[in-house]
Amino acid sequence: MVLSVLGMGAVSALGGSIDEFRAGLEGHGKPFIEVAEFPVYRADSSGLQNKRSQRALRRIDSFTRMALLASFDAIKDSGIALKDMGRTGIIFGSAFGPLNTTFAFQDSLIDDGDKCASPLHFAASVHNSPAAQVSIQMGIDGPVQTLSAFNHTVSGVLELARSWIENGIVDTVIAGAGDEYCPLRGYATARMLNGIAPSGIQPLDFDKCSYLPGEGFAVFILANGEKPSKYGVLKKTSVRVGIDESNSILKDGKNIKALFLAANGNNGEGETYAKINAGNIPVRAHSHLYGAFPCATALSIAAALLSEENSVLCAEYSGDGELNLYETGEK
Amino acid sequence: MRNAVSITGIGSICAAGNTLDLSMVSMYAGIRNCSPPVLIKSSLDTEYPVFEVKNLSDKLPGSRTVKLAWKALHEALEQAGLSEKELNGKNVGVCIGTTVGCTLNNEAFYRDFKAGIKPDIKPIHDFLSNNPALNISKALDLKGPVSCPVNACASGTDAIGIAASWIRDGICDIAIAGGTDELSRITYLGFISLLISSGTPCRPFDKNRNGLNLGEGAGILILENNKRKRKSLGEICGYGTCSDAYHPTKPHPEGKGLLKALSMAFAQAGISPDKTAFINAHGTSTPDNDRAEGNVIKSFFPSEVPVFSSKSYTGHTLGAAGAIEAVFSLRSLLDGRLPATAGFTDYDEACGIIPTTENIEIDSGYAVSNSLAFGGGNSCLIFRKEG
Repeated sequence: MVLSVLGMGAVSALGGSIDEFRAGLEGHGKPFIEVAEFPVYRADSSGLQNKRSQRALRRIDSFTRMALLASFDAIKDSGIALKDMGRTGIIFGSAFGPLNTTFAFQDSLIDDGDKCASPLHFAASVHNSPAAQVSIQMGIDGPVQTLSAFNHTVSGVLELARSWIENGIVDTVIAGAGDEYCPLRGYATARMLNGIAPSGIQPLDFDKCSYLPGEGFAVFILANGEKPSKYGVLKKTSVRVGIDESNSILKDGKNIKALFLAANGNNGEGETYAKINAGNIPVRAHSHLYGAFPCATALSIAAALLSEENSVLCAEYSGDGELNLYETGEK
Repeated sequence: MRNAVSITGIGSICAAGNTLDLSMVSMYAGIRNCSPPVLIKSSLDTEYPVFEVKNLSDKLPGSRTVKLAWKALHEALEQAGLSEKELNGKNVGVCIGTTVGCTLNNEAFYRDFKAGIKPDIKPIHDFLSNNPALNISKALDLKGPVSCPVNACASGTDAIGIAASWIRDGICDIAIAGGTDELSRITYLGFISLLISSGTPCRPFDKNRNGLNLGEGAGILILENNKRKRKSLGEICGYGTCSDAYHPTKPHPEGKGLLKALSMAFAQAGISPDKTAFINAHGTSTPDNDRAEGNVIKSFFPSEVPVFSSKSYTGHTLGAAGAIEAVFSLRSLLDGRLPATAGFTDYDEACGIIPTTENIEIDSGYAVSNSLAFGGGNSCLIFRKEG
């Protein structure tokens, strides 16, 4: 079963809306790169203040704000009121969860002692906090799920959405994935790169390590493929596909008009991307616009769905020299 | 035609016992291994009792959370008659829920980082290799789907529900499903800060209950379609999950989401609530949880359906809880016997539940296992034994 993509939201270094994301892909607007100890692509979720009251955003942390903004943006982008979406579920994914809140809780222990452990930070540090907040703030009382399996997170989210819709559990899924930056990630990246900061991510230079951390969140409004879609359809996700099989899919897939890679300047993963034989079709990657993080694949898929081509294959390194493949179809 | 979901192997480890057999013996004997923490040190004036696993083998791979999962997996695979080797390269899915296992909670490392000591980043590499689902899938060289639900305290239940859908939908022939979590200083202090930890052994549904005790452990089930013709222990008949859309940490007082989740699960199972042999309740022993769950049980099930809370023997094992309780539920069906709920003495009208106060015989029928989670998640599984 294919999934119609009715709307999308994207919060990234390119801005807080799908329109800004599209403009960034088209070369209008530059990503926001903050340079502290190490350069990092920072997402801007300040636009949420225009969509939600101060009261509604009280105690909402930075990661959940990204998820909320991307979700509200995706629903607005779909042009469909939430009440008209039928039975709705939420599935989010994140490799790292609310990192800044996780460490804010640890700050309360380290700075103030065990007796001063922060209950607010503890409660908000669970990975499902963003999905729960979207559920609460939008009043969605259907199934709500969160997944976390590094490079298998986005594939898990989309396949679970497909299962829910195919099996009639819901009519519509608000499906999204993202990760946030925290100083510890910057430190870890700097250590991995021996303190030498690349000038910027060069995702298609597979031999070079040009990895820079980023953050962001993409949300898709998904429904049964028979529904009219704004961005086309997502076909079945194939997980853990070997290079030979991936190349066969590309060779045999006459309708595939472009290949989008979730390559992010990590030359370890680049070894696998370099073995892909795309033939004559264009190969694209956009992590130089939003930075590297495990769930950036969701932004890659959003970019693929925004492309002019009707049928695009998206490839994500899934570990051990294998790929997860996402195929889009007819708009 | 969708595949039935057979369970061919089950395994568990928790404070009640390092194997499922040992856990059942402890529970039928009413033994509770609840004591001040050994693994966790804090500067609090009070020590809050926990349910710790003793003698976990150091030879198992990975973090403590991952080790617990491996221990339960070995037991489940043995019962299913599967060797690790024969799974290599096969389309076998792994879906294991966790909470602690997905969180970068290395306090010593973070403390050094904060102090500007520039610590070695081995803890980051360790974190990246200790996602329980990925760790097992990679170590066994499996080629099927891999997922790790992190839906707080319902993670284990959701992992089983999702893995069951893989089998039903023909995505894989075999799935390793369950949940795992270790005790952690972070969760220990976090639950105390929320004022929902008890300073005494927990008392699910009791009038004088005053909070939960944390625990640790893992529960693993081997799910299959019937291609391998292996003798089935039982079947996952229904799964439902729904949000309260109410509050980040409190359950909806009338259990709105739990009612919907139960309705979904029973609709999938194609049975009515009067077929229920017993309910393994979420039963954390917090005032809010037990009241909300009690309200739902009273309204949804016939009054004579027995209610049991295995958390009175395991503590709240967070992401492992739903999986351990699923394993216990099927085993109780197979044993035809349900343990007494430890700690219950005084009836609470606000809950309206008298859980099992002695071991009871149970007729064949369906077992229901509930999980409620931070964030308003509610998930339920329905099992039946084979034959």
